Parts: sequence; C-alpha cells; structure tokens
Amino acid sequence: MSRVEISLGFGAMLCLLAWLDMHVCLCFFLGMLLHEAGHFLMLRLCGIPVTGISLRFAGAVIQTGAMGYEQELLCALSGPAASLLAAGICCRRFSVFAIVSFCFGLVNLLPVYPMDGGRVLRAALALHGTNERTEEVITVVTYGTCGLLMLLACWFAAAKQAGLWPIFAALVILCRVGAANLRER
Amino acid sequence: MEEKKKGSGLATAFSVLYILAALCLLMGILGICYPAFGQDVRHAIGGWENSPFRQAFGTLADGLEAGEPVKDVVAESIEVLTGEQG
Repeated sequence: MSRVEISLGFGAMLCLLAWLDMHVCLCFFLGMLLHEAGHFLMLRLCGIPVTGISLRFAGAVIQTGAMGYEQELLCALSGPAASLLAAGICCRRFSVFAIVSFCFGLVNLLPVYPMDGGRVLRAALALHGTNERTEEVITVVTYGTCGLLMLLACWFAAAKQAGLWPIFAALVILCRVGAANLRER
Repeated sequence: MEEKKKGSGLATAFSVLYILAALCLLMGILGICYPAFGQDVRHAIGGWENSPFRQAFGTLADGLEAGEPVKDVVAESIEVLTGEQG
C-alpha cells in the first residue's frame, strides 16, 4: 500500500461524534477499522493490489487495482461480514460496540452504489446480465433506497427524537451516491 | 460543456460535505465556549436523553449484556421504540 490519506473532514466527523458521545465514537472508530480490515484481508487473499486508503468525512475508501466481478463481490461482502461477525462475537461483553458494529454492517449492506451492498448487487447483476440492464437496475434501486432511507431518517428525527444525526447520515450517503455517479459518467 | 457540468456537480457534492465538516467544528467550539447552549445543540443533533430512540438503544445494550435471549431483547427494544411499552 503506497499511501494512507486522512482528510480534515474525517477528523471533524470524529470530533463531532466524540462530543456527542465518546463511548459511541470509540466504538464507531473501532468498528470502522474492523470493517476495513475485512475488506483489506479479502483483497490480499484475492491477490488484488491495494494502492491506498483514504479516510474522509463520508467514510473510508480503499483504492485498488483492477478486479473482476467475482472478486468485487467477495471483497465488497467481506467488510460487512467482518462487522456482523464482530457484532456477534462481542454482543454479550461489549454490547454498545456490538450494536454499532451491527448497524455499520447493515448500513453498508444497503443496495446503494457505491456502498458495499450496491457493489455486491452490481457485481451479481453484471455476472448474469448486460451492462446496460445492470446500470438501469442499480440506478433505480440506489435512488429508491436513498429515498426510503431519508424518510426513515426523518421519522427517527421527528417522531422518535433521535436528533438530526440520522438525517446527516442519510445526506452523507446521498452525497456519496451523487459523487460516484458523476465520477463514473 | 460536458466537462464543466461534471466538475461543477462534483464540486457541489463535496461542498455539502465540507459545509457539514465546518458545522461539526463549529459545534465543537460552541460546546466548549457556551456549555449550556452547546448542550441544547448536542441534544438537537444527538437526540434527547429520554427519547424513545435512546431508551430503545439502552434497553438493547443492557439486555444483551445481561445475557437475555437476543430475540427477546430485540422485541422489547422495538416495543420501546414504537411506544408500545413504557
């Protein structure tokens, strides 16, 4: 791996989380490290070169060499699998970490491209269909899921007094979707 | 023309993220300089102490650490969240 990039936005996001709840912040950081370690391990097992990792406000991004659809499917699944496994192992001793890690895995499994679930869906569809059809399905599913996510976030914020963070989180996911679409166009 | 559109779209997406990042820093400074106001902002962003969301989170965490069956704890937490209990 040639470089590790930590942006100011990532530091700001950690500061905000620490200010809101130090315990949850530590669990989130640990959960994120474990999640990325899962991806990294599978990338190494598949023999795909990792050229860098960027820690940004919207999450971590691993830069890799070219890979096939089967490899992408496996590598995308490995992160959420590591998160869910960690949640299962720790749920009796470190329950807050287990809940955070479980949510981390679950959110990453949402069928939203470029998140892990979206990558899995895209790779699975591309293995069995044409590229045009795959892109059509991915676009509809991604924006449909984002819409539902935003509604759910508003419901949590308004009806359950969860605060504004669910809306922030949904906005960040929406920004990642938009940025990925523009980059690939 | 296409390149210009692409660049401006990306800039807009990243601007939103940078605004959020700046907001985070501002909230942090507010919390240190004006603790009382900072506490209100903290509740507005992170949720109120006695909110159904926090209560459900607490029920789930406590139940799991107490060794109760996962299915029962999850069901109880959902009841707390939806307001069918407590």
